[in-house]
Amino acid sequence: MRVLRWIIALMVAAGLCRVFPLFHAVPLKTAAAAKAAAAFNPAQFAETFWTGTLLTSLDRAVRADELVSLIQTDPAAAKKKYSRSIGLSEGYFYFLRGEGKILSVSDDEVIIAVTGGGTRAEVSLQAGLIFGNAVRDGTGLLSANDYPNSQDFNDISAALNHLVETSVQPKLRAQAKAGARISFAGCAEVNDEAADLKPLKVIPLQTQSE
Amino acid sequence: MKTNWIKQAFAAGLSMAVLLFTQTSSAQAAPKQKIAVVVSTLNNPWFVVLGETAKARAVELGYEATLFDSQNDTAKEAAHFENLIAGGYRAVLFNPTDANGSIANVEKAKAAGIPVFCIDREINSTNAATAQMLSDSYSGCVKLGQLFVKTVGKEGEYAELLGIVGDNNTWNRSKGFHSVVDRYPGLKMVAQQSGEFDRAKGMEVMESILQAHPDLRGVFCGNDAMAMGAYQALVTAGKMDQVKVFGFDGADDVVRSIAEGKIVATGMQFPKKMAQQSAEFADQYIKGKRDFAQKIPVPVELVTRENVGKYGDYGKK
Amino acid sequence: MNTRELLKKLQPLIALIVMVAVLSLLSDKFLTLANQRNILLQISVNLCLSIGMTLIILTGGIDLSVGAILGLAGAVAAGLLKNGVALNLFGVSLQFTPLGAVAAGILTGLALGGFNGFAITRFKLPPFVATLGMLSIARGLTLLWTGGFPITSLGATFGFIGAGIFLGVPMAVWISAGLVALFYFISRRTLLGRYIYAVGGNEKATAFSGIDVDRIKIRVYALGGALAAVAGLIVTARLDAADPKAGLGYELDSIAAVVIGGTSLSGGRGSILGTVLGCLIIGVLNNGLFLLDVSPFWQQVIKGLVILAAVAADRLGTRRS
Repeated sequence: MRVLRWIIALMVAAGLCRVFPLFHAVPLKTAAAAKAAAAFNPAQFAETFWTGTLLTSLDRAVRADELVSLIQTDPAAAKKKYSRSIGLSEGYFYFLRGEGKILSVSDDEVIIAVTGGGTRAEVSLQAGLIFGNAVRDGTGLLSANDYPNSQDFNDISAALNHLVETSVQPKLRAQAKAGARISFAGCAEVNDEAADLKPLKVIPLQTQSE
Repeated sequence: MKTNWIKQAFAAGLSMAVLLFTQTSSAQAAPKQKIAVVVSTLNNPWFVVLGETAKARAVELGYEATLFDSQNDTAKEAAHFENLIAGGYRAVLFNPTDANGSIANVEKAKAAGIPVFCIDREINSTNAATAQMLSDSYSGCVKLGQLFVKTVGKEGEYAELLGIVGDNNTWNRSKGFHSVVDRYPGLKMVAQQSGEFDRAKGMEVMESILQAHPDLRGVFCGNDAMAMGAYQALVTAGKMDQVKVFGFDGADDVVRSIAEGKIVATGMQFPKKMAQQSAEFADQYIKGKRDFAQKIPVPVELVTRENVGKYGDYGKK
Repeated sequence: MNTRELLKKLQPLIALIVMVAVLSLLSDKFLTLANQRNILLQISVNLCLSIGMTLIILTGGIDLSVGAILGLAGAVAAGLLKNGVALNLFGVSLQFTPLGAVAAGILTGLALGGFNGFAITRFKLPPFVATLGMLSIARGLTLLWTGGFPITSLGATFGFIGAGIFLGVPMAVWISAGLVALFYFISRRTLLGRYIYAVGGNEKATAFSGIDVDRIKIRVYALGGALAAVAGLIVTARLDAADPKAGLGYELDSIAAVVIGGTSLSGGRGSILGTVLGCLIIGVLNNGLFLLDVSPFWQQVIKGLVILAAVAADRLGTRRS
């Protein structure tokens, strides 16, 4: 009797599960693909943004020689006229492009003078590891308002920095020889004016030997 | 019989006496518009500063303000939101418990026509809150990571004290730090343990770590309370000069310790600035302004021995 | 039943009526329909936990793990619903339907609760110790399962459990009210109910009369776990997120509700209805403290005082009778 009761209960349960299924079996590959499609892919986003938007917008950047001469005479005016800052930040960014003469080259940086006849270190193109949000926030092309999760926005920053390290810096190192002329576009972050302005530490987005 | 009634009065009336007492103070004022301040926890002085500052600013602006403690529990937070919607509040200054878990609560307020201004932590949505002021822990810890490499060097053993492992701030901070430090293969993390954002726990964990790894060069702590605890452990072990301590938050005692050269650096968040701004936003909203930026990052600044004079009292002097 | 006993039984009810009367006088918001609905909604989770806790305390035990089981069951359901579970051996991933996720969540609670009962009866562990261990185990499992991050965006079907409204009353309230009715019936009208009171009243005598005490206890703890799981599903559905920290400290609220409701911590004496009153008292108190704008620092002090007062009154009453 007892066994019979269990069997009936099991059959009823199985019947119910047929009408109201508890789960569906999906092949692992399909499941993984669906998950990947739903997740945000920062590397892919960065690639598309880099070629589609960033490289076509370099002409929005400030002329480096104008910016640097203004910083040398009146840094406050330069900040007011050319800088961009986000949120309630006190630090700010410059987005600049120009040409200059390479004064010296080291593992971490390429020092150049950009003003007419300049001989001092005016811009330092960063050739070492890239950290921070200068590339993401410096151009004004991306806005935090578009990203529900700022962790995604931070991942974009890391992916953009990675692109600089893998596709821009190797070229820069190959081109960089003291005395040569080079044209560049890049972003600079200024947190501490005493340390970050002279020379301006620029993360390169594009470089070209002349 | 009589004593039974006295007991009943005792059981039910005790709290009422307190209620009546507190009621008299607020009941006399003319009816003002009400603003709610909902804070994730009041168990940590940093959040008390955040909540009390927001409340004080709202009162300054002519509102009646009430502080709610969610006790790090999204369900308790949900109850607060239901209550404040029923209670006729005009705006919420909100420090969310969880970036995802708090979205539903904000949406409830939005549906009831009450603007919500997030402070310090975000919610993962761009169309629920009216504006969000975010302290960007990740980017702050990227900066700390760079300083860590500069101070400790590119080689050596280090340890990390994580915050509460179920808290997304813990991971945002840890990920930001590691996005820098992991690029240097010579720096080896020999221990990664949770100090639960707690001073005593941080000290205890650090003591154990020092037993197993006497050659540590640095320790990165997910908040300042743990950094103070870790420093105490180092003092006991006589290793305070060998091991460099890094914290995060900008708590007053850590800022003082940085000035004294005990702790290397911390990431200063600006609880007072954010809290005041949120109250001002709510005031502007009630007076008719509607165009607020959705996400307003409030960058974290590094406090080091060089610039420590500029900081203090949960912000810039 | 003489007048004194009746009065004692009615004590929580009288306390509740006094509180409601005072609050309606002090705040014009208190008696609004929206506010009353909020109170019911907010106690629904504690009610589910406290029903199970009442049965357990009636047997003379205690369960400190209900908050942790709540967290784990919610996380299991959310995880299965959102991510499914990969069976690498068969090369398939099981994607759970909302019904399946709910079933899995409740089974999780049932199993962990059953394990509590097993540890208490077979290994003769004191309930305090056994469930304290389970508290830690379930919290740890929750962190492992979620990786420390909340599981979110669970969809409208599942969300209906928590956020849905049926006939003007939130689903969470329907569920908890249904469970109250069911367990009131079980405790009053079934053999299991009678045995629960018997075990708590005098365990040895019950065993001598040929009743399998261990089996009763295992069932009661399993039911407690399952009820905690239902509470976990409600919390998860209401927030549309399974937070790994969910339910932290809820066991204390639940024990408080049971005690305020007049159930004796030494077992054998008390009732489900008393616990409902206990939950209502805590809910009304929380709501009242809020409406009257009491500082959050004071709120906790006041809640503690109310619990002490309730138990003190209960103890004094017992000694006299």
